[in-house]
Amino acid sequence: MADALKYLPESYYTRYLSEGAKSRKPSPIRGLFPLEATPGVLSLLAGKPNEETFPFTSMNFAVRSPLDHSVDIPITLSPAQLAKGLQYSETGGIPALCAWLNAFQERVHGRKAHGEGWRLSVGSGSQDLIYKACTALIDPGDSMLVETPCYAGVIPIFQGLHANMVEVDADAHGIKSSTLRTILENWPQDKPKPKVLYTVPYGGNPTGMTASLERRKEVLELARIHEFIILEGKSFEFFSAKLRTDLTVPDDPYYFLYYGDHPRYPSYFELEQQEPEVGRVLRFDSFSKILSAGIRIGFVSGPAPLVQAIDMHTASANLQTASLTQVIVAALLEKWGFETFITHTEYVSAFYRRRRDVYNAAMEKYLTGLAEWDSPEAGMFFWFKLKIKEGEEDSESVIRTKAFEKGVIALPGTSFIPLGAKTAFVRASFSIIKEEDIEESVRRLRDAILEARKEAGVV
Amino acid sequence: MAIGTDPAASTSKIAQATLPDGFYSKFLSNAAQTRKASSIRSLFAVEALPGMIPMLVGRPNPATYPFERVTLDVKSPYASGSTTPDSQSDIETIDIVGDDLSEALQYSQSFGVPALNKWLFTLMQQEHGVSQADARVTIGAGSQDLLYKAFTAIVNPGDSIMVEAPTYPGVIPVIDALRCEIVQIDTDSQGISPTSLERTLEEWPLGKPFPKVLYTVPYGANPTGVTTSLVRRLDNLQLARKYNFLIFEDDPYYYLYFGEDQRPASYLSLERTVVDPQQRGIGRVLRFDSLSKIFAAGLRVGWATGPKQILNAMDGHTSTANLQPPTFSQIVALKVLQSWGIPGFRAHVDRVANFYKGKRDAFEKYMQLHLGNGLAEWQTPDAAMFYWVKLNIPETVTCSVRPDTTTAGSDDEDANQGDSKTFVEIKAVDNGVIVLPGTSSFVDGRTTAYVRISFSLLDEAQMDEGLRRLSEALKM
Repeated sequence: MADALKYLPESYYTRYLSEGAKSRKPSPIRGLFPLEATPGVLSLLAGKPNEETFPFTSMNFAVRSPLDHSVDIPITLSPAQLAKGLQYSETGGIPALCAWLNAFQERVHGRKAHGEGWRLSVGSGSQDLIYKACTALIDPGDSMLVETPCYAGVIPIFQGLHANMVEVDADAHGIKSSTLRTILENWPQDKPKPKVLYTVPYGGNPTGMTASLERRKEVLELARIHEFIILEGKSFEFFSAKLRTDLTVPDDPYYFLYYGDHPRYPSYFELEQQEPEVGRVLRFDSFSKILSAGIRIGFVSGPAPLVQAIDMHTASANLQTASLTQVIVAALLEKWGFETFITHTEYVSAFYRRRRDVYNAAMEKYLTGLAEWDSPEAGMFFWFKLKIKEGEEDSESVIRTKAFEKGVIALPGTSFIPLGAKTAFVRASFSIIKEEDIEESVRRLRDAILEARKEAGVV
Repeated sequence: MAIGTDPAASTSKIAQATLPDGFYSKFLSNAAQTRKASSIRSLFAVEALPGMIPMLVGRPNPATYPFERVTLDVKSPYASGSTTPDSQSDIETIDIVGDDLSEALQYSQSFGVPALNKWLFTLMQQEHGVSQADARVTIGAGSQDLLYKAFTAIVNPGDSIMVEAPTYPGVIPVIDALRCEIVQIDTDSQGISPTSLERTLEEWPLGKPFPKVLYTVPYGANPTGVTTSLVRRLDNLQLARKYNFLIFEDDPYYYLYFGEDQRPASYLSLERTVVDPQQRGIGRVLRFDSLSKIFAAGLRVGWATGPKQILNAMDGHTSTANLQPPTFSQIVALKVLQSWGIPGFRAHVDRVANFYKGKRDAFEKYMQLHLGNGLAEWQTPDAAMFYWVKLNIPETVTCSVRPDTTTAGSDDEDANQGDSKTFVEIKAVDNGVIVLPGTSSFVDGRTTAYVRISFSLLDEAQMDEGLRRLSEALKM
């Protein structure tokens, strides 16, 4: 790799920004912050409440040691940390957390936080950031490329922006880059090309599939030729961290059950460094599956002008992400450090892998011949196709009536198809279900499928 | 200063009809009406049925979360003395463990944690007289989050809305982004000027749709510090009924009222207690509350109370845009509120109001000392944390001409009296003090001699020195 990474200039992004993003005005008060920071100036500017009136005087918490689950690590917020957590704070995240995350992105993706034209920003969960990124990029009628099937939670965002969604099929090796190429090479001359591609390259929701390295490279090449931004969706990639053999945790029998058999592929954010220039990837990460969903903390990394547009949206829409949960996460991550955090993610991977295995065994026992599936390598979902009868492409009625009557509920696959086509696929989540209920739930599904087959005249 | 007292002697409680659901269809924006529900979140209810094995949602398993315990120390609302606790006995320790902790760490509902939502609804029942028939509560990630969603739920591009002038600077970018027509309504020492509001509506162009919303901060307004008087509130409510607009009552400083007089009732409450002979129904007020000034701004917890139809649209926005307010913050707030009960909460907010009264009294002393000799004019605030001060700006500070200052109905009277923005940037900062130029608080960015001065964070020495420097700058 060349020592100085070439990155796209700030002006390049003007063409991508939506009308709303371009016309957004800066907060009049925040514009005075540089003057306020002049040394010796007494500020009567800020409208912050006085912290003395807040009822909280101290806060501490305990976390399990990832190295030994019988040990609790106590962490007490310092007075300064507590004060920070209780007060208004920076639009794009508190400095302590941003610093840790910058170092993290450098370790994981090899991207330096300075001098590469990118930065990161903390949001109220990655959904918040995806919503703001799409709002910053898409005007009504703009075309966008959407990997299909696609995480059901983001489709209403695209619909709400009146995007012209163009589905790009994915299979067990991730997004079909050849299909993507065909779509782009046959794009009508008189129609503006898609501005963005939304894809989840690792442990996608709902499919649990992982895009191969070749496909990732081809997608990056197409992004350069056809000039679109890759939205690298929130993923479960931590769950398939590489096998580690240097750890022994005797009380944790499934520790070495790493999830996924391949080495981890590099992210788009990392891989784009092999392109002639960087700046076409906006990456979303989340702590919801690893630390807690209720803290609502996610982060976005990518071209500074796009992250700036997201921050401008935050400054008017909700000011900032909760300070308190950011302070807690920063204190935890500082205590753990990088290695221990990774060890924790490996424990989480092992936890879900064991459930995956139990679930897969039940699937094989009860659904062989009645459904088709690839066992997921990451995440917490099985994505499987019901075999009711030849040519039957609708899982919804079976799930909503028969399965429901038999006391099991999963999500019909049509929720994951951006344009809403029927599909014989179903997504079943195995994260919360009690392990002893897994077999029974799959048996109920079997009964539902058998009943549907009988009604359809299939023996 | 007591909370929850009868709003006006002349009013009485009679049964009034709640506006029907159909009333709101002409108010809801196209975006709100066409928004599709999240397919996953809409199935949450099915999953909770007894005997159902859930394989629906992608909630992570809380066993994988590393947190084992969270412990908070909280000041007793009944502790003697100042807000600084005198002894350990004034501290209560609250543990969040077990099921409470699991809930705090997990996804939750778009409208907030159900138990907190219920607690807040009870508070709103006691405080403002709402009932389940005419209102509900939704929780947001701070009240700014809810304001943004409420405006988005109502305003189409080109619609008209009315905003008091000056107004909270933070709301201006929100409404600007919706590309609506913003009509500024003048205010004075009693709040919104009824003549300005009435004239605006009476002279509204024939055939043009009337404004959908009036946005107001009724207590200790940001920036003016003014608390709208009861008489003005009644006038404005009457106009809302007559001209059929909604009132967005943004009230983060409600609990920071420390005036000598009885506190005026909220619009939400008045709508329910003031008899309308024409029976035009309840449901034109949407109220915004916040924990930011009384609990902690960093929690990001606020709530809205009002018509279900509008709150449903806001929840729909939440379920696509950011799913929910942070569960962790909500459980922290809930545990404290449950421990205190409503009496403890009232005791706490009274202490907070007293704290700001002490600050205000001290600040007033230094205002008199340094600016009392004709350098500035102001009205002493009865709530919150701001002084809105008209500076007597020396003629040596030239008026900067900004292109967007000549729009709107302002007769530019202020412009002739000085430009506080230029004064602050050149004179005040050079003299070691910074205040907020008033222009930030006007939608049209007009030139004004006013500045907003915040006293919440200052000790007495800083008040003395800051105001001394400001007076020096004015004398230069």
